Amino acid sequence: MTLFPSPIFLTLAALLTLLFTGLAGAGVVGRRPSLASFFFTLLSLESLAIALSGLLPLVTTSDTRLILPGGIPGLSFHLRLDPLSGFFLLLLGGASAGVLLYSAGYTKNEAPEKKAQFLAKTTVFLFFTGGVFLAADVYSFMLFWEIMAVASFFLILSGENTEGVRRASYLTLLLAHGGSMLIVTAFALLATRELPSGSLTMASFSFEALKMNHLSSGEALLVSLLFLLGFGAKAGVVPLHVWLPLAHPAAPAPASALLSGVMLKAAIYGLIRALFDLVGLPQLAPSFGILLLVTGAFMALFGILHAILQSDTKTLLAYSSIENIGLILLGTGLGILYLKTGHPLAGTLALCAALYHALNHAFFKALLFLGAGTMIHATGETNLNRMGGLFKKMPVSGALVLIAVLSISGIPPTNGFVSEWLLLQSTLQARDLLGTIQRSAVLFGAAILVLASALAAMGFLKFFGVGYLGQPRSDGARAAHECSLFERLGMGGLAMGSLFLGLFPSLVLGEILKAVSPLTSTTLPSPSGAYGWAWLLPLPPAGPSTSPLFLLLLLVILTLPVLWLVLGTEGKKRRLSIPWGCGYRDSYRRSQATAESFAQPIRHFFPVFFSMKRHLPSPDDPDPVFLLSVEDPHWPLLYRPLFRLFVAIAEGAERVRSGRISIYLIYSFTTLILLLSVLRWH
Amino acid sequence: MAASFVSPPTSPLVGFLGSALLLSSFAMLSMRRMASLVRIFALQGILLTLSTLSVALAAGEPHLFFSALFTLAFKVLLLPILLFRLLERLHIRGEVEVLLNVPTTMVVGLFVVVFSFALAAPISEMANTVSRGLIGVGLAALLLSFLMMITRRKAVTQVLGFLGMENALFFSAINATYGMPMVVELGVAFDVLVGTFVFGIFFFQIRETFESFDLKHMDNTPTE
Repeated sequence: MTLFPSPIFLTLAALLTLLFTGLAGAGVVGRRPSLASFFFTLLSLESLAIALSGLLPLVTTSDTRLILPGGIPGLSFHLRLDPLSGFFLLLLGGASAGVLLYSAGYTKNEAPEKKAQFLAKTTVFLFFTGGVFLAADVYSFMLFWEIMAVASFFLILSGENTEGVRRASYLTLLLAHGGSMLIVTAFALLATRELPSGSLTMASFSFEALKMNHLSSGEALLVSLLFLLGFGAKAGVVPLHVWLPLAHPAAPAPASALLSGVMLKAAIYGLIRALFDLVGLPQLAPSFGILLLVTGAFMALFGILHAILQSDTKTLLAYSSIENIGLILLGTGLGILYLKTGHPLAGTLALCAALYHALNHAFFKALLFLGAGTMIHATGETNLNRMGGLFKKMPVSGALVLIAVLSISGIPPTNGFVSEWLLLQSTLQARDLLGTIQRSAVLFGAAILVLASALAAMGFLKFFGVGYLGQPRSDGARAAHECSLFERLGMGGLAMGSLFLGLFPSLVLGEILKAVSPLTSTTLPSPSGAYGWAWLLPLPPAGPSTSPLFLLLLLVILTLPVLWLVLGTEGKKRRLSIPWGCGYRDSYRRSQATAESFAQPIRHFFPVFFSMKRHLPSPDDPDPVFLLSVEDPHWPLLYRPLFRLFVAIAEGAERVRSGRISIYLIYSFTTLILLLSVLRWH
Repeated sequence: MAASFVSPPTSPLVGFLGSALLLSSFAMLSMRRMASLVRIFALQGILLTLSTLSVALAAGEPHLFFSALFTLAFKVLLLPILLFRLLERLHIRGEVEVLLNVPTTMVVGLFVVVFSFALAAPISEMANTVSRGLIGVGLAALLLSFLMMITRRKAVTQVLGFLGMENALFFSAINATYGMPMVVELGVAFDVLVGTFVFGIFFFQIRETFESFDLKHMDNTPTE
């Protein structure tokens, strides 16, 4: 026995404390609303504790297990805290600490019941998501996974009670359940391939036992595909992403921050755990890696193009989440491809880059959603075209959002730069490693990666420019005010996290490596020499290198003379004018570039990605109307035809419905007899 | 063809209990009084308990003892008591009403049994349990109960047919693979219990609405 309790106990204790604090808080806040801030702050600290307990297995590379007796004989909860789970718990704790602190300010003006409900929903969601990371058998994994899905449904519902919100949350639940069915099917296939004869017991559903599977290559591909689609439905993999752009705007800001920052990552965790740990690296096919890579690349491009076109703040962020999940999948696919073609170093690097990006995305996307929440609260508007000029009104939160904007655009020295740089470096390892087809797929992915990053910068230039710069575009924007202290603190915490992840990449990569190397059974060589913490050299001794700290220094040195030039001209050649005035001398707000005008070139260059309806009035139209609507092409091309097909089938099936119970029973009886006969005598 | 009907050897006790179960299924099909129907259902529960016990002893599968215990508690005690109370409170005494007369049903039942045995032959060859010869019996009992659901008019008889099907399913599972996993078994047991409760509530509702239990009142006949 050691003096120190095992890490999994600490994690479990941290998670349970969070759950009980949240539920107790929900009980108390209903009667004493003034205590809400206290409880949110407490929960935020407890989230930090979860993050620390997740850091522990990474630092010590420990792998602890625990079997808790369940309610039913033979079905106990297998839990396991290995470095990979620890990494995702760190992500969960870190991102939710900021979000919970922010919620203290965000829910300030809500009714007491709403506050209490939000406390309960958030903590239940966080607890069971944490449980997903710990689960080590199919039963507990699916239990936690399903409760997480249902909690996310309720989180979305905590927005306004409108038809749109209800539809969005229902669609989310529908796709989540469809996905769960595929996941369970995949688990079942794995479990039946594990033992020679059909002696299936509950013990064979633990992850340990599932690892012992011996799938044929075709079966392994099928199981991998099922996992991709199943987890993809929750991660927003195109074409199963349609719930995402509806759900995120419907939920209140802290909820969308958690959904995008944490829940999408839970799906990524599930996919990585299932592919690398359960199906097992030896069984994975290189072609599946290519599939994942191409899917990721397509998602990245599709997501960011649609993001640029959105004028609604949160819809824009939601599509950008699709882009980022695409980048993570791209890295994962790349990792599989490298590892399966005998390049373990490059594969490990790609997987590290993917996880690094997942962590970064959790921080900056949560920060962006919180920022969008402050914008919406301050102006009472959700459309970017009715914001504008907010930076002067909200300098602190604006600066924090700017950090996130720089991160997501991949601009040094932020964390987005580091992970995208790592992803790009790992794609460039293809230059002399792989066969022609594989190499071209990887390089195609690299090109899309660069394109998507550049487009992301464009999209977020639009987000920040139209929202925060220029002049106020509506009365709401003119009356905007800075958000509360709690909100700024929560956002500040996330921004600090983002900056840390950006400035000390070697430290972070070292920890992520500990989560990845058990999966790939490879570790990257550690860089020798001084200043290793400041200089990122993922493939020493010769490979590519960068240093965000150095770049920051360079940026400061280059900016100072410009600043001096600008400020030094005071009184001489300086002319003050209205921002974004387009040369007009008077304040003419409508002449500012709009959100749509930012998007117009993209719409023009990439028409295949959109389903557009335009109506241009003719010159002699007495009542001219200009109309343009852009839609996700998956609705008219895939989902609506599918719905129509279902309705048609249902209407056809209606004919056999006589309404007599005996007839129905005879239907089942004859079907049973026929099926059995076919089975017996072919 | 005839060769495939021959069942593999089984222990005499298990075989006897299996044939008694099949006989009880036929008895349910031919019974005309409601109360006797419930009594036969309880008897079927006892047979099921005994055969589970004997398979458990013959095969040395300890978890089957639990199954036997559950069967005794649910199917011999709880459900028949519930059903008797239901009959009493609803004042059901009379005859079972049939859609198809009893002799014809019995003849159809005979064909069903032959069909089941022919169907079960290859499964019996594959299974490696001590009582694999009885899979056909389970299948036959299942289809006979189904037949009862089709040919009876009153809602209560349909519930008994449904419960009989569940019994047969359980019997087949025991004999083919020494029972389903414990979770499945428990789940099914609870389903059946809840189902009976729901049916009970449903009966009261039907009587409130139609003052009769004839299923024709529940038919969705469009009004002209």
